[in-house]
Amino acid sequence: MYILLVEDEDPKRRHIATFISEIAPTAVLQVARSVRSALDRFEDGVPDVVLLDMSLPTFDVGGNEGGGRPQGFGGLELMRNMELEGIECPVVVITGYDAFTKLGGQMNLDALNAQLSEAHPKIFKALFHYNSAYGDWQEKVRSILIDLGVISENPAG
Amino acid sequence: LSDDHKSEIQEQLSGFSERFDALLLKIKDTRFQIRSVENPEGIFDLPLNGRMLLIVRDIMQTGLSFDDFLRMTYLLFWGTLEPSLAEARRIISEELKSEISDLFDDLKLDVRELAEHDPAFPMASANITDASVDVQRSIDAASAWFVKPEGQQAVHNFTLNQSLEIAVASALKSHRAFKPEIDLKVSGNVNLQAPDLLLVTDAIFIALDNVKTHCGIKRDVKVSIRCDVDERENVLRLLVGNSVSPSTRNGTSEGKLEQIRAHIAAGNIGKRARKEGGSGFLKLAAALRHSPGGELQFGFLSDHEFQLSVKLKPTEFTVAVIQAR
Repeated sequence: MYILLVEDEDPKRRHIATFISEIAPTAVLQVARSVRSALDRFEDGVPDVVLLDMSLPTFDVGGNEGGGRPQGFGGLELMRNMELEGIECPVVVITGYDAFTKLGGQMNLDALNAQLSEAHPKIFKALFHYNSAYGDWQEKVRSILIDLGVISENPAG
Repeated sequence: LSDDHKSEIQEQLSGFSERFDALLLKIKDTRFQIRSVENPEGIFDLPLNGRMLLIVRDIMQTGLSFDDFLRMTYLLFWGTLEPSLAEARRIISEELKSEISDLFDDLKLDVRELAEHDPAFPMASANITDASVDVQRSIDAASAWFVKPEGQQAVHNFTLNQSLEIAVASALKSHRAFKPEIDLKVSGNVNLQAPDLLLVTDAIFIALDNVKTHCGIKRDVKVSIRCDVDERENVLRLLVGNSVSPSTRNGTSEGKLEQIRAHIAAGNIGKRARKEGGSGFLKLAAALRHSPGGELQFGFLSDHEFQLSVKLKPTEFTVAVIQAR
């Protein structure tokens, strides 16, 4: 199994990667930190699932360089690009935000979930809220990965 | 929100500020200090000891001019300081960043408990997340403060032969009464910069120190040193093998080696490296931790032979090269 984790925030990425290594110890976990580097990863092969942050920079941040300020909807841009390039693999969004600003207004996670379902019905599978202080997101991610057939109910699988 | 809940949120924010400040102060006051009796957790250490002077003396004997000597002392200074700088960068970008991110997540959770159903909550929570991301970006910038300044990065290179000769000569001078039969073979067309030279001298010093202390043979100790380079992978391989008395290999020595391997595998080498005082392998593992691709293996090959194996990726040459004469 090949899982692509697209996340620019180091602590969140470490938490998710640690959790994935626990529930899918045999899976190959690749990491991308920006929209562009995620697109580059697809050239190596199509993952069995993409775990995607919503707020992402366009390019990787390296050394003292900036990679661009994280875009509120960098994750959305990646999904658009995936569809344009005909990359079909399930996408699970894991965001630390409770709401996003859009056109001066705000969009909560329910509204974003509905929008993603409508705009990307083939690839978008679920959206979860992440907070390191509680483990709700872990159970939800585990459950969706089982539903998608990426992992089995047996943790060793 | 009721006035009571508003007051509680205000208290949550004040508590968060206090915890945030306390975390920064704790790291500053305990870790970002020069290591000393008063500050045992301090990460800045500059071990300019007698052995370092021996290394400098042997480097000088490669025929440097006075200008080259001055340049070299700068490079050795920065090379010696680099493990501290690397540890500072790691603490900032891993430990501090994680702890601060957790503080923000706790704050979001606390505010959620009081105000989840308030229409302003989603944006308040989003603003806290934005602040967390901004702080983490600032932390990345602070981590870059602990990269040695560009002006000091001028490169002086040593051939592999020079590096090994310097390492062996300085190690033997530190153990004057110890005269092993050393068979040294070096192959590979790569030059080393000062930090890598220091790693090689550390490895050879520790290897010979162990041979002297633990091999169990009084005379005619044979030591084989092989150093080559996998040019495709850009990996330097150093093998130090030595004869041992058959009685040296026993349950106690194997147990100690296994214990050291377990500490290294668990990454449990920072403080222990300074306290171990036995093989020096933890110190070497700690130094190699800061070298990309650094790898350390050791153990008995048979009842008569022990081997230490070190791999490291030599620093890439990116600045003007001044060949050692």
